[in-house]
Amino acid sequence: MSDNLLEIKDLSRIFDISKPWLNRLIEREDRRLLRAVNDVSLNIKRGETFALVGESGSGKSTIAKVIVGLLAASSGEIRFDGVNLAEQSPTAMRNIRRRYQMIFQDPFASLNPRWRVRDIIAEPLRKFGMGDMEGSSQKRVDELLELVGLSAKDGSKFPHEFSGGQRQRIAIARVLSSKPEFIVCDEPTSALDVSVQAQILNLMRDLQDDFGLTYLFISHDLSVVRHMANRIGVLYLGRLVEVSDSKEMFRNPRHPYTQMLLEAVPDLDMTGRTRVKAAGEIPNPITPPSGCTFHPRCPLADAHCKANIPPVVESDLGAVACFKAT
Amino acid sequence: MSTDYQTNEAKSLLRRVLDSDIWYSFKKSKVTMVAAGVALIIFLAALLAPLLAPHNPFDLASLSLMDSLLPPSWTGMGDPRYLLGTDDQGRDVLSTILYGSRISIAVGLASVAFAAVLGITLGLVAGYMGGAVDAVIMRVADVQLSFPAILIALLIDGTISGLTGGVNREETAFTVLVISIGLSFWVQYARTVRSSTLVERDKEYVQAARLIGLHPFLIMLRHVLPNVMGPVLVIATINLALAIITEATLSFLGVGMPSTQPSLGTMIRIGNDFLFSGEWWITLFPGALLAVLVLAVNLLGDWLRDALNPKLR
Amino acid sequence: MSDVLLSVRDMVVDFPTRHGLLRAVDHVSFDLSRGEVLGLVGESGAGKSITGAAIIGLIEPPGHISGGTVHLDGSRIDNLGMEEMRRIRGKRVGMVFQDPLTSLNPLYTIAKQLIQTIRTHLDLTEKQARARAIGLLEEVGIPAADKRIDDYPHQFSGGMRQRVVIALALCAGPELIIADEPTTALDVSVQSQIIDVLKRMCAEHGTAVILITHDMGVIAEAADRVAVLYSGRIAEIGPVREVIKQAKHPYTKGLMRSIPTLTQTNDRLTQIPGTMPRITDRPEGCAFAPRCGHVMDICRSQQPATRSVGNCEVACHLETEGGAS
Repeated sequence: MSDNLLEIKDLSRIFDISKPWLNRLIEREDRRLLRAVNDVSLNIKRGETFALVGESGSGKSTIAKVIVGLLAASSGEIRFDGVNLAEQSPTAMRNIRRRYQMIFQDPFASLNPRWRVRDIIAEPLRKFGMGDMEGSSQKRVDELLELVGLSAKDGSKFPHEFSGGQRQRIAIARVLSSKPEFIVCDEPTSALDVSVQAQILNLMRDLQDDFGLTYLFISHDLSVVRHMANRIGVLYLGRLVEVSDSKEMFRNPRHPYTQMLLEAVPDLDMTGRTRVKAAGEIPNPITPPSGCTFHPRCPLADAHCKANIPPVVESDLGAVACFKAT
Repeated sequence: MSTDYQTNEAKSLLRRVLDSDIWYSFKKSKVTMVAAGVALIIFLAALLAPLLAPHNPFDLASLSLMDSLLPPSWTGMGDPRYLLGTDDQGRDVLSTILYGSRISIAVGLASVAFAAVLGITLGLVAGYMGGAVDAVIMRVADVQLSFPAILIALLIDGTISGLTGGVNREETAFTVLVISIGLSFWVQYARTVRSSTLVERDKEYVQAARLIGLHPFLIMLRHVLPNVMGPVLVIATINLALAIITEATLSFLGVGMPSTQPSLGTMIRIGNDFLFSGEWWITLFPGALLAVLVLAVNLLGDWLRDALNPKLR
Repeated sequence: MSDVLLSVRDMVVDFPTRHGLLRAVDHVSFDLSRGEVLGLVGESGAGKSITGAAIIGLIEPPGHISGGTVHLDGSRIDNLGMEEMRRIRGKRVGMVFQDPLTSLNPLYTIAKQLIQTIRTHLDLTEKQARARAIGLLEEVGIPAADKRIDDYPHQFSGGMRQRVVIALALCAGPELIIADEPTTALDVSVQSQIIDVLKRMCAEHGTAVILITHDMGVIAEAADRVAVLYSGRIAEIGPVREVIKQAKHPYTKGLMRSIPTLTQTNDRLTQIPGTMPRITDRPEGCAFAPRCGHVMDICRSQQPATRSVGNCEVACHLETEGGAS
């Protein structure tokens, strides 16, 4: 039990996207709700990389933001290292907050353009009182810069003087400055070029080995996920449809949606394998289909799937939410 | 070690300014350079009025009614001591203009600063907090925006003067003017800052700051504020011209600076009474200076707006 | 001779700035046959989009083509006036961009935009044009095309919108389509559908395609030949299979190894150190030299010439100097 660093139980997040009250009154419209995350439960073990995979509207970024506290959960429970985050006092939260961090997708938006790199990296140090003396925080920033493959003299530059990959390194240095145990990575390389993506992914793996970090890795790219993750969860329209061991998932995907995603990955080896082509598009999450939300695109769907929501069934192979899964 | 960094940064600041796009576009635009030169000369002349002015118009002892309403010296009918002539109280027009532009510019700068601080604060809070706070602040702004600024300034000026009973007009005039002009111009800052804040608030660097539990006040101050200041600078420059004009208008209408401490507007008003009896110089010179000053500041504002707009570069 | 549809020779695109001329595209040459799909692949800033834009005269001023020639079907087009160029765009060259919303006017129905484009370039009546438009929409896979044609762009999903854009690009029967990152904004499961549509439509209509993308996967799926751009120059150009499986330029080799795939087993990805130089401080000699594992003295001083190696053309000193070893 205690080897779970993060436990999420029945997490839901609902956005109220209705028009303002007066418009609703005049136009006689009901409230409109978007269930971005729907009863998601998952555990992340200490030291592993857990990947969440999904396309747009799957709710993967929303889950990330709820976990780190940028968004409130509508219902459900998040336990970090055994403690329920919702029940902590502000002082206790201050200590817990130091232990988790987040790497954002867009390195061009995640660094304050008016700040010097040194100040950006030192901000968590100052906030958590980890570098009280001027000299010691300076030294720590220099160390961090070198740790992520930049040089200490880069600290006095501004973010716009760096390329995308270098900026993502700076963002990683900032994240590491408070010595966190758990890092949420929200599409950390999707804004980068491939040759740079490899550098960042390698850096993240090295850091994980050196500091025993636990990652929640969010991505839409299955090849990247396969390379990074120990376990993978697949999201579709806010629901977790499959969770399993990374190797197992690529060898034997059980949910039809996972199968479709795998088929859609371009064939770079040019083996010429014949593929079942993906069909349809993700429905509008405001008006999701009834029953299993995947049924309009599913080759196996029948009347039962249209009417009932499949429960998540756990087994040795992992968890899957599909009536047809074997 | 840290001093090493600091000298480096000081050096790089100068280099950054000289290397910046703004400095480049400044050097490219002749109109802007002339406008900046003119504005600088007027500002310096106003600042150094006690040193430059041949007479002290506030020194009652030196005034003589015998010298009143003298035309400019070059017309042949004037007195060589008074280059631009004198007004009805025998004050040297040139000296009064120098001292008057000092008051006009001071009122302009102070009221712009007041409006900017108020508007930026309210805009930041409205944009960052959102919800009811936002709604209240912006509705007040909307209501105020539906009246002309000059009307608001007149109203506030009148209210304050009424409350203080009009006593000590000479001492309070400056403060009253700054408050009334400032209060009538804050809306523009608030709206601009609010809309920029709405954009910046959702950027990931602000989320990163929220993530470590930084207090919202500190996030607004350290992260959002520096990134919304660009447009504020443009508005402040253009508003400086507007504030100077508004002050002149109020003074012209007789609710601004008193005749004992004349601003440019006050002088125009005084001269206005004598315009039809042929004493044109009392109005013309302060009027011309006002026009040139406002034009120069406006041109600077226009240039700054274009230079800071990445789409036009 | 008549097999070559588009011929680009030594094209140079410069952007004058206050820091001097920025050379975004530096002596790029390639040929495109009728019905062929040529991929232009490269990292951001490699000049791939500007190459595409330059061919159809869509470089934003003050940028301009300052050298080389572009021939479409034997006649030179890089020196044409704005008006003549506009007639070529749409009629003979179609365009598909990353964001479908930039190609579609949100204020008009799909029908209006398609019919207008068709009637601008072809001598058809309103009714004939509408029939042609519906036919095209059916071909690109829009269900109930005869009804949906009267919808507005925002009523379509992202993938459907991109299908409409493909129909719009094809509606005047162009000989060439320039597709700039046509699938980048789309979800993985939609991406492959759109690639399929683009490929099938162009094959059926005999249209050649220049497919600009950063994604080697898309290239592998769709292109016949591929040109790998690095820092404004072509590093390597050749048949897709050869470039992907037996890359010759060290950059292409590194690039292919750094892409994680579904079959590879090693833990660490092979990475290329450093980043592509900004066009402001491109090194003398080969632009890839600072990152190259096989760098020689000559690479730092002299730009490599393009050499034919088998079916490919490669710009690397290794192919001339060390080619024997």
